[in-house]
Amino acid sequence: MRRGEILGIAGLMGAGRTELARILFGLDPCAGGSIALNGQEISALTTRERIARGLAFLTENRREEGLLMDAAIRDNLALAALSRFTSSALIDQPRLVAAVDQMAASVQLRGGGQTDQPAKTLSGGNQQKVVLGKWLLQNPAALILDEPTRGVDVGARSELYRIIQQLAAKGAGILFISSEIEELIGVCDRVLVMQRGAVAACFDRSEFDRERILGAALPAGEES
Amino acid sequence: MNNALARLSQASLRHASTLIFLGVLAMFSLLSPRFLAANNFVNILIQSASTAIVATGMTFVLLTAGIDLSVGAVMFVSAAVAGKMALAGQPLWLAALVILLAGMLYGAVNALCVTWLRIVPFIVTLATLYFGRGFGLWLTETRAMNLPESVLRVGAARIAGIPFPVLMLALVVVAAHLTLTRTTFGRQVYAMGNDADAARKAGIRTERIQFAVYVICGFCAALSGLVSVVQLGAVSPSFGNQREFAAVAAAVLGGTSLFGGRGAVLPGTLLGALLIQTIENGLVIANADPYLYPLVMSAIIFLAVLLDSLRNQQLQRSQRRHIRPLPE
Repeated sequence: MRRGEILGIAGLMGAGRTELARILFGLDPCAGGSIALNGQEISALTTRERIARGLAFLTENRREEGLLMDAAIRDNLALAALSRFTSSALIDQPRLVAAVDQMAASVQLRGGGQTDQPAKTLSGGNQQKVVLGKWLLQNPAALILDEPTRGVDVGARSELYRIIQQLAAKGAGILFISSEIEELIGVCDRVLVMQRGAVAACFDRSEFDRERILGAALPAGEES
Repeated sequence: MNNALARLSQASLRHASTLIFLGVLAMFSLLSPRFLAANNFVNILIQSASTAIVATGMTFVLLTAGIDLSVGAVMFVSAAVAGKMALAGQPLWLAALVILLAGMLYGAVNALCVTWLRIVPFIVTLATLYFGRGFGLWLTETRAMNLPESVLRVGAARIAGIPFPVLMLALVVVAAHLTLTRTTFGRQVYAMGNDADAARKAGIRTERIQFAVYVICGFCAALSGLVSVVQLGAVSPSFGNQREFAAVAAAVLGGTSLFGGRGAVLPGTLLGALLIQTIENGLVIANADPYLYPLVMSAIIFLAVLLDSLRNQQLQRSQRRHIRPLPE
């Protein structure tokens, strides 16, 4: 994956896409091979150290893994970036709140900027924006998105795409995992197709074609 | 009209423990004029110091959705050790240092069992409760120790006009409040109690947080034992017995959730501890039948927990999402 690139990962359920994301983020052990970020080997690092190096991961399951549903939107946004707002021992509260509210505005969070409300009061799309905003506060070098638009309405989807593209334009690399081929065709610069745990094919933007991507995702011999 | 009523009931539920507190104050003031005397309030503050300190440590643990049942035993062990050292002619500051370290060590053992061996906190701390009580009884040979006058003098000492126990109480509560609300660690404690899995995925070292809260709790328990022993001037075999329940009760009365992620030391836990002590004090002053104390206490704790449950239900109701027709 290159800087500023949006790399799509297509594939069927069980092709190993989420497993790939979890391994990259250091949540699951890697059976073999190596992982590098900005040319530095990170395979041996813990999830926390990978985050410190600029890796971010938006899980496919925001309700159970991505958000603290009972905590305020503001606290959710601040969670990953807290240490950057801590001078000596105490949190620089005004600066943190300002940064968080600015982030809430820049991801166009609905709800009238009431960031003290619990995260569970938001709709799916807005919850996803909170998770995304949480990582954006970290200025990630690489962002892994696992099914970011699942359960997100059409309007919020296009805003998510816009945020993702802006981030890529700023030089971050983005790994975009999705089951929806149209979405990948619309957003990505390059699409890898996974099948049974391995990369089966790679398409550049010029070669994007729904049928070919789908064909590569299906196991050989089962093509109709 | 309906709306105003709903808002009123919501506000009263949110400040339930404050309202109960005021109600209790009013009740005892009516029962006995002596209750309202200014020095009685100072007394209540002094008497509640030990409970409030241990409850503050407990609040940290409760916020991570854990529990520490061993605090009463830690109080006993630390009082026993301090007593032995005082009787052997050691200076009190040395005894204090030793027992505070011992309390932290005790917390560290609890924490290791929880984080490393992954045993449920309830069971771990139940085991260390029995260990602590057994160890303390062995140490004191099940005899009550009467400590030298010098120990009691510390308990009665005033620093800048503030009684020693109250000073300790204030230090602990303010430090805990700042830690929870103004530091990264504090925010991470709440995050972890809210959802350990999500916290881990945001790069928080949840094991470390968990370890730290048990160490803090052990430290507070030891300090609480110290504050209590300098006030009593004696260590009996039942010292600190069942204090863990007073600590949990104080925290829960103050609005801390047993399921983690919700609660506060200030005003929450402090208010809870003061409430418990006020009731005890008021009953004594009103010359109530001693057999009545536990009954009154249980009724008030029950009321507080009931209110907490009502508050939760109402909060959930208010957060239900509605379809609102767009204004024309």
